[in-house]
Amino acid sequence: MPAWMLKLTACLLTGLATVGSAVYVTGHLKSPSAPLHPPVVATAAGHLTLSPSIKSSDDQQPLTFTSVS
Amino acid sequence: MSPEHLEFEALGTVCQLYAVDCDARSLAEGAAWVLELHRRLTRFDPSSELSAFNASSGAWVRVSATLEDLLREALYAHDLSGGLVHAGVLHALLAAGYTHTFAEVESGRTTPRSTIVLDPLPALSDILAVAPGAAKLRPGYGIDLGGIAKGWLADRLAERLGENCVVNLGGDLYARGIGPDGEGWPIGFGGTTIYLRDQGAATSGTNKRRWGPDLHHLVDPRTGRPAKSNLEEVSVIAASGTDAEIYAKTALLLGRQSAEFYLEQHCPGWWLSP
Repeated sequence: MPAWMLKLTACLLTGLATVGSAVYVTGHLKSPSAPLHPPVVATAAGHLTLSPSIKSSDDQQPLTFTSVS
Repeated sequence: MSPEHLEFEALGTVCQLYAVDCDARSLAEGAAWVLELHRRLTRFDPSSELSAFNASSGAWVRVSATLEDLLREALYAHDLSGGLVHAGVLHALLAAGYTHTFAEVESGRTTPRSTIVLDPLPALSDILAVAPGAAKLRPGYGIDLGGIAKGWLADRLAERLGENCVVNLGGDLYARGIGPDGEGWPIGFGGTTIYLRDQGAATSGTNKRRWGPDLHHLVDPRTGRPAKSNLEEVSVIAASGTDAEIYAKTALLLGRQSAEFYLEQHCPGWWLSP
């Protein structure tokens, strides 16, 4: 294969990768499922924030609870 | 699997122990241990080891290994909270009117009175020194361990009770192990149920132990007076009961805006009210 063809192919691949990356990134500014920030649940009484590492359930009765004493 | 359970009163509050693969006798021994340490560490009993230390007037005095550990914990809490969790607040609590247990206040045997306007507190390391087997307190100051002892005791008692247990001392707790069903221990937290494994949780608030407008048990060392915060209650999850208690108090004293930023750096979960 002639040298000029190799150079042209490399340039085209580089250009395609650059354009393709730019299109993808501008179309995916933020993934809604990315756990960058923990979810915040607001209720009448206050705000609950739990990181994804903490498993929770609204159906399960707690055995005991944290509280002011 | 249903865990063994024991409920008892100590530390001026209700305590609960739950444990899997642990017999009732071990739980009873755990409760007795808490009651014994309460007797030695309460500031309300003039004959307690803590009261004797508070009366030592600037001299180096011998302290038990337990009191030494707790005094070191107090210095750790002061450092971890940037000075906001301050065990040297006894004179400020007394000046604010917290001179008797709440059981005595509620029974009508005493009426708390606030009398003195105070200054900011010096750093805890400026008034408390701890060495192996001994400690020294600057004259005019006193130690109150109410702000750190429950979480500390919960962590230690969980070690005694085995690999799978929850120790809840008046709302400050440590959950050790996988829980009764292998998912973690189900704990009520901010209106929902969370599952904790080898983690602590604690709540700090100004809506209990109150005896008048702006008079409550949580002293802000920056002012020497009961804290004025736009938060009434903070619950947090942390790696231990001790740390949870420290983070909860720090966040409450910081107020809502700074609390959220602070807790993001330290805790996997929190509840702020209102």
